Amino acid sequence: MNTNIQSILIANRGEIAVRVIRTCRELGIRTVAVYSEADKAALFTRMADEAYFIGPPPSSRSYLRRETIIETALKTACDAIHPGYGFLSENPEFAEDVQQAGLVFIGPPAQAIRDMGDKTKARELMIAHGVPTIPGTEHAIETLEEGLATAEEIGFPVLIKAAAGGGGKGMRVIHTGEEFEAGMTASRNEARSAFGDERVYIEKYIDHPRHIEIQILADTHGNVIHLGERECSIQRRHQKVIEESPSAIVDEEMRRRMGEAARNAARACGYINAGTVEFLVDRERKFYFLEMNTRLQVEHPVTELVYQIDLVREQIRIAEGKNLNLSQDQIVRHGHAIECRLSAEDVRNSFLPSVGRLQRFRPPVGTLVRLDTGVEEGDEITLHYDPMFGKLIVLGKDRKDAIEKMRYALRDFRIAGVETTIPFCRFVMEHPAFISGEFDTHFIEDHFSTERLTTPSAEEYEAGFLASALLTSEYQSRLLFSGDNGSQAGRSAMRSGWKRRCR
Amino acid sequence: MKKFAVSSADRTSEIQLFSNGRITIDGKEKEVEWIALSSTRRVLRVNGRSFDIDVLSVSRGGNVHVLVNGFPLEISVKDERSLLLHQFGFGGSLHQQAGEVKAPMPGLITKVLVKPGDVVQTGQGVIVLEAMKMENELTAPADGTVKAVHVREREAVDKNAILIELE
Repeated sequence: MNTNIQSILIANRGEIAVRVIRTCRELGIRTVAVYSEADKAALFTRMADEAYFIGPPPSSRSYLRRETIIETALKTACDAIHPGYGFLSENPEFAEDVQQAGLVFIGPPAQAIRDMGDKTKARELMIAHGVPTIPGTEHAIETLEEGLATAEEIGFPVLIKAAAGGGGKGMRVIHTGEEFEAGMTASRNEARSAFGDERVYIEKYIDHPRHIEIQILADTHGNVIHLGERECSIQRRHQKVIEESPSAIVDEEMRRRMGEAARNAARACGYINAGTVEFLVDRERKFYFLEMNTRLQVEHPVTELVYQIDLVREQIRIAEGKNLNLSQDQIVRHGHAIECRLSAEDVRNSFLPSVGRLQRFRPPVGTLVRLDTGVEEGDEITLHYDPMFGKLIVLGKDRKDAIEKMRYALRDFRIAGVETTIPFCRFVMEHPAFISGEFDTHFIEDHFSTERLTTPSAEEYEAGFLASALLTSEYQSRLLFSGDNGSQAGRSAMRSGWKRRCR
Repeated sequence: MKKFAVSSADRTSEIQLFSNGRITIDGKEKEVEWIALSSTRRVLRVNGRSFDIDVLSVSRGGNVHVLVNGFPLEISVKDERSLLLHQFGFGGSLHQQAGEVKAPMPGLITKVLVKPGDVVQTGQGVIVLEAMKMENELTAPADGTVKAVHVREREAVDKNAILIELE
């Protein structure tokens, strides 16, 4: 069943909507964006060929409105819907509704989303297909008593996770029986508010693991390939902050075994399209299935750079029913890629979300420096959506080179108006544990403190002082801001004596 | 000649701007080039080294907010007149109120962990604020006793709203 996709509605916002539009443009596919009140002038709405309003800012009344989105796709004569990540991307009912409306869902079959979204079912499938899993409960836990009994049986420390969830929401590590009740209650509250389902499941907690995942692609003809690993161990509250490919600890043999396990995981649920199989890796480099993400991942660009592939393009081709272009033995990796997620969070204040208008937004440029973002200078970062506003990605010839590139790219970024995670990313790029490759998911707890963030040098302080005196002097002369930017009045105001002297 | 006392965090300097263009900082003369790219973007070149200056705000009260090579700096600039006023006690000062817990961002109060009269220690969780779909525990900035709780659970609060007062 070969279809030819000519128009795609993007059921998402921000950087991923922009990312999908870019590939569609290259393929000559018409794009339709949908947006909430909060995003009415956002970059993705302007880049799309057409953009339609779908509701007020809260996502439950806009980006999660399945019927409205499908109706918009039909009304605007789209053939397909790309869900991005988050929002409706892992909602099996949405995938079904899209298909029933006669549209193509650019993602896996609803059943695969359902099976992998149900952690218990996923685990059963993995065990049945020989994919290694972590010791833990076989079914979702409904009551506190049952939870405690199970935790005691597995042995502390244990990890409590939302049965319906992902993205770290509702997750808690419990070290002792006394902490259990409070921990499980908190998990259930978070799970209920995030997913409307308070069931949790409990598993053995693997101490100081690494988080390494495998990208897979599967077509409708039974071909499944893997595109190596992404190291995602730099996390905060189980949310990835920095990712890279390849991992410093994965050699060819381990990559082959993990890749094989991931392909089996994909086959186990009849997977089609792009997906990611996440593993925890212990200190002996043994790996265990964690979960499968049945969508395009936030961190997909690192794989794109090292394998020189456009994953969105592959997603569209697969959705059209085409064969994969490549077989497993044709895949070649080049260099080393690192991604830093840029979030509007205050690193110096427990990473609390920071909202506001981007008074400055000047990204770095450079060879093999990529920025995926949905914002521009002047845009406002609001509380309505995820604080991540972009991803900075670099490709180096090896890991050391990539780290150097990233250090300079981060250094050259100019942002004002909100606090961002850039200072944290700079800290990581300069930390000996990161540079050596010897780190795990506890990197932040083990190594990070706000005192270790890079501060301005003595010369930079001095420059700031000189500049502020000069600016105050100009201000007092009532010359500053006397005209529009770049206007004649503004220009003449800038020609101060201190400039003339040096000419 | 204009003389300014500039300070930021724990650093202070004295800068003199002479009408012939000479500049000194703490008595040392600097070779300075001051170039405007726009009214809000400048380049400062000091003895051959360039610094990116983004002008974020310049206030009447002598507070300058800039990015220097991307680093945000809030700098207080006092000229001779304001220094004089300050000496006579008209300058006013901004003290961080240690006795209150403020909302660092707008959000929803999901849990109030203390009540008036409770004794709290520095770093102890006092309130849970949900914002951007994450629960954030706010902690006591100092040891003390809870004097007042100004919010209730499920209440939406604005940035900088005073949530709890300590004494």
